[in-house]
Amino acid sequence: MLLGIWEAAFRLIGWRDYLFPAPSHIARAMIDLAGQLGPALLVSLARLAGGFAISLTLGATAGLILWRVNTLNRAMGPLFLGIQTLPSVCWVPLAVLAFGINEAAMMFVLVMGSSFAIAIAMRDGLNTVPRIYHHAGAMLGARGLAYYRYILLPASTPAFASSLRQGFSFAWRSLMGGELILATRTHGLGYLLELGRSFADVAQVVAVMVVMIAIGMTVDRLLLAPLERRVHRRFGL
Amino acid sequence: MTGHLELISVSKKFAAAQMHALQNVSVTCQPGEFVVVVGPSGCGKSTLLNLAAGMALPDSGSVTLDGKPVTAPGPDRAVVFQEHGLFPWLTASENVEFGLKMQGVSRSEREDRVAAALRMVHLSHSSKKLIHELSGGMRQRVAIARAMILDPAVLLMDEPFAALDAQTRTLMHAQLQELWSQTRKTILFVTHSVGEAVRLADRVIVLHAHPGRVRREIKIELPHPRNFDGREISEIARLVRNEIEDEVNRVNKQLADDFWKPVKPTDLVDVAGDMGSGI
Repeated sequence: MLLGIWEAAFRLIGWRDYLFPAPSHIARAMIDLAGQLGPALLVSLARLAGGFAISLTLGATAGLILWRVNTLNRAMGPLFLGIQTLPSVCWVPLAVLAFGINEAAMMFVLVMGSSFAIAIAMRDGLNTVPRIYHHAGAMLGARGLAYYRYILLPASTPAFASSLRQGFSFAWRSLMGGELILATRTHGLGYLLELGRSFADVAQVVAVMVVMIAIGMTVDRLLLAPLERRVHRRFGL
Repeated sequence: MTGHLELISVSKKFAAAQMHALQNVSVTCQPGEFVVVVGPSGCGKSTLLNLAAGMALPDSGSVTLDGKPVTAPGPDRAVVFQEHGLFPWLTASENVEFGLKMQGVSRSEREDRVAAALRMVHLSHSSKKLIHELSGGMRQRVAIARAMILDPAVLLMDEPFAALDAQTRTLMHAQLQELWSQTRKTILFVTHSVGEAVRLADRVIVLHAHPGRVRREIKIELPHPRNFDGREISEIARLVRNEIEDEVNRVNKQLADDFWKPVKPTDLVDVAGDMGSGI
């Protein structure tokens, strides 16, 4: 429907196709690009999987520590929030200087761009775990490690599911930003976007953007949102 | 027989204020006794229960169970919380099972004991349900089963039925009586409801507030299970209610005196009589 209006407006008004593409141009660009899009998509998704795993581990651990150690939270909490507001591409120069133009730099941008948000979400989520679970756990004999394993871990799954969802969108954005700027040997989606710009191929630019948005939406709608819903239903939230 | 719970002249201050939540309060539960502590809000009755549970430590005085000092929460003093405190990620039966799992009881023994505990609270049919799928009354029954399965020396109950509707509460009273006469556990039960107190208790302890102290102890020697609408029950309830009303009035007066002075009639009329003269 929307696409139809877009296409019709394009034809009626007569925009020039090198300034702004119509859906039909984008579709054609996608077909032309198919050979490159597929591999680039795989590269990007592989990076996302690896980097997101790292940043989840780091972020969740940091969130747990911030939650547990109050003095650290007071000292570092505001800093974490501040870093979270930093656009992730701002990590690129530091990444290049520290690692060079390579996969490590890419991972660095992704992890830095998303783990702080995950840590904050995790900490806030843990703060919402009712105090009564602690009392009930102590009464039932869940102390020390058992408390973490059998009470805190399951009790914080709603928080974790939400931080997963938020962390993913941060990670995906960071990675695309990183790929856009860092021309590493293997090419991801961000590189195709930049390539489109350098050839002044507006259809390609928008086509790649469409793929990026599609990936973000697919993962969120089909994977993370249902996961969050399931956890919430289990908890009766 | 175990279950001799003693709180001897315990005092506890609120963290923020210098006010005593409890001042020099002594409460003793004999093995197998059903003791209900009743009092207006702010009388420190929940604090008292927290001390018995070991979730808080007294500023002075001692808390012992069968002669051993209480220093931390433990399965020998099982608690039924006002807001059940059940784990929403577990089913009803998994909640009941939790304490045994922590104790390292074998799976087959756990299954038998969980089934028995759920039968005791008439919930066998709902064992696979999640907590939010249960009604308020059923949740508290799961909480009671979770506590009883630990085979505690005392059962501590913190206004467990306060959030339930009247019919459910009456049903819960009957079931708790039945459960108590079967197991003869020592029960320390805290409530603000006088009706609840006199229905259930062998002994009612009336606390007064600001600071929390024992105002009166009333032994109720009516046999269990009781007819909740009986004449004797009503009379004892009236007696306890009077105690508490006196207490509430005293506290209100005391609080009011601090900032409220009676208004003199002359304050209300225009003494000079020149009303409107400046117009």
